[in-house]
Amino acid sequence: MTLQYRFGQLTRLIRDPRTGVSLDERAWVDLIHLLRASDLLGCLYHLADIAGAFEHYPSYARRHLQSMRVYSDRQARQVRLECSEIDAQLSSVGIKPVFLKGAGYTLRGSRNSRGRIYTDIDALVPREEIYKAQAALKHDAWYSPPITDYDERYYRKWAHEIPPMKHLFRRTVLDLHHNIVPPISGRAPNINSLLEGLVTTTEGLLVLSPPAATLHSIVHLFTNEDFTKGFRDLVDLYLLMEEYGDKSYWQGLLSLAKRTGFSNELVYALASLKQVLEYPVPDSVWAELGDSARKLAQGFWAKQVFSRALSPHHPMVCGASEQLAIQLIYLRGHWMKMPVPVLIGHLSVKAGMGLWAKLFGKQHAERPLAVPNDTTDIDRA
Amino acid sequence: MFVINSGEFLFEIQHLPAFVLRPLRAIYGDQPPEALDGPADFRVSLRCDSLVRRFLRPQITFYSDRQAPFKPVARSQAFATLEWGMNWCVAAYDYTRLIIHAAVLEKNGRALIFPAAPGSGKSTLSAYLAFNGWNLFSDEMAIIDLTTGKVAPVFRPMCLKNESIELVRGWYPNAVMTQIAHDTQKGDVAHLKALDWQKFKSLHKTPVVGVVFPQFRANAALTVKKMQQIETFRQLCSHAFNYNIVGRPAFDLIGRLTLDTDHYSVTYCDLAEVNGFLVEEFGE
Repeated sequence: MTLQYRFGQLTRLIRDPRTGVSLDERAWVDLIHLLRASDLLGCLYHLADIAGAFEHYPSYARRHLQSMRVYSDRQARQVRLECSEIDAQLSSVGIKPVFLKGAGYTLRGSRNSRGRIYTDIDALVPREEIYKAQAALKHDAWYSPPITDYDERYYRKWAHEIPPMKHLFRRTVLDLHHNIVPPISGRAPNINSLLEGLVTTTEGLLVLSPPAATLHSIVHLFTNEDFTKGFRDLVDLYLLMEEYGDKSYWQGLLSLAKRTGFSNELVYALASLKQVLEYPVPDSVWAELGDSARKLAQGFWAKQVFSRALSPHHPMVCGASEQLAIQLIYLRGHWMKMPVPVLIGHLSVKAGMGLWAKLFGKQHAERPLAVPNDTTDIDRA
Repeated sequence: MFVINSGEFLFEIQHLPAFVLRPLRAIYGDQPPEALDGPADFRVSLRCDSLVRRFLRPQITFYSDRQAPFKPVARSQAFATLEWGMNWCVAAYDYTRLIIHAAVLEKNGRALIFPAAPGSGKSTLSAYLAFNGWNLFSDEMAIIDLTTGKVAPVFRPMCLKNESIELVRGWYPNAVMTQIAHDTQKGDVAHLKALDWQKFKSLHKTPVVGVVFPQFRANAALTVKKMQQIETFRQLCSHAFNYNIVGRPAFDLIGRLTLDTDHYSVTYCDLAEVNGFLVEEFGE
């Protein structure tokens, strides 16, 4: 059984959940584990449900999909509650936050929000008001867990967000942003471009327009050095485009990408979507993007690297070439983020940590792997 | 590859150090091949991550697929960390049933659940009852169907801690027990096989008729108090791993459990006295 074979089954399942009906038991076990590792169990539940396929899945698959559907439903309720609390608190000092990424999808109720798993809530406020916003939240049981002076300086000087805040009782994590990429990268766009066409939800909360939300997701993925959740992010883009991809959406997305300087990232996203999930990018979009974009889409990074690094990072589908692609992305992400001398220093530290991990075990070298929320007390059993 | 069918879940152990095979075979070795045939709910491993540690005081890490929820432990704790890891898988990923941190014992088609804080003597009590006419459905987790309200038997060993290890070994010298793992986060532990597969296969999902909150106290006379409904409800909620995630169905089920069962808090020193009370109250 080749790696590509299971990955092919996985992507087909996302594109057309009805293909799951004829899968054998062995395939389902592999796919359930791949979906679990990619945080996509809840997502497939909803896709299969909408496609009318869920009831025809074997009981084994139904049970695992249903289980994470329950979990994600609960998280969605939590996200709505947290967002309205944050909005009310910030509104009381005259700041109206815009909810980004997962929280934004859930508040809007877009298809890609169904079954979603969250690690935090992201909100955008004006740069000059970010510390006022932080202070206001501290009056409402949010706190900033202590970090080192170096990190504090790093955030204040270079970053597009302040250190994550945490709710004292509910343990929700909030990232307050004033931009979508760190100013140190030299690529932070005029944030007002993204704020055009903000959408007010029925609860009166603000979220980005579908093209702006899509662009943010693209920028987040393709300027990042870490593709661990890349496959999930790609499925996000796929579902956003499927749901919103009419003429005005594409016009908005193309224009926004150009104005903010992220056209190349858009091309990489479209090329990857086409290659990995066979998303039918409209010809008119390619025409609009022009010849250089076509070339970029056929180039080394788009064809050989991104598409490979975007498979789930699981040995079942991740072979030597995928590993290499992941390493290249890691280097590229850092390359773009930092000036060269800083980069060399940073990577030597990281390489040292890698060696350290190999010698002494990685639990001694890095933070424990992320576990699903609300399970921190489980080991009392 | 070693496979464990706990009744409700199938675990495939993809990788493990050879020395763990001995306790595994002792505890799970009587499962027939046909019981291990189904699709695996969780693929787990025990690995030695560190190169140095492979030779020097080796440490073992539990993995659920690619995820390592716990810190590495000493070699002697490998089997215990595997057991706790399997519990973690269930608690972290199953929201289709209500899962309460409790022991479950059954007699004559009537099940009792014993939710209790660590140190309350729950395991010692269950070990005693399990060898005195009750069937041990579970030592750690009551897995209750959200619709039928029935609790499922689980094919897993019980986890004895500290003094109760020698106590139970004294009562049942022939029982199958793993070697003691010293200095775990719960102190010294050993796992005790409380059911053979034949017996396990004869058990079925069973309605819950009682909730008992045990509290061991040295030299105490048996004291049985009927619990207030609101207190039972509160306790069951706080002992349920997934109450706040399952939400409404969990609320409804705990409500039904509270209304439809008898519930007691029991302070005891003499286990035989507790058994006497339970048989009288719930046995028939």
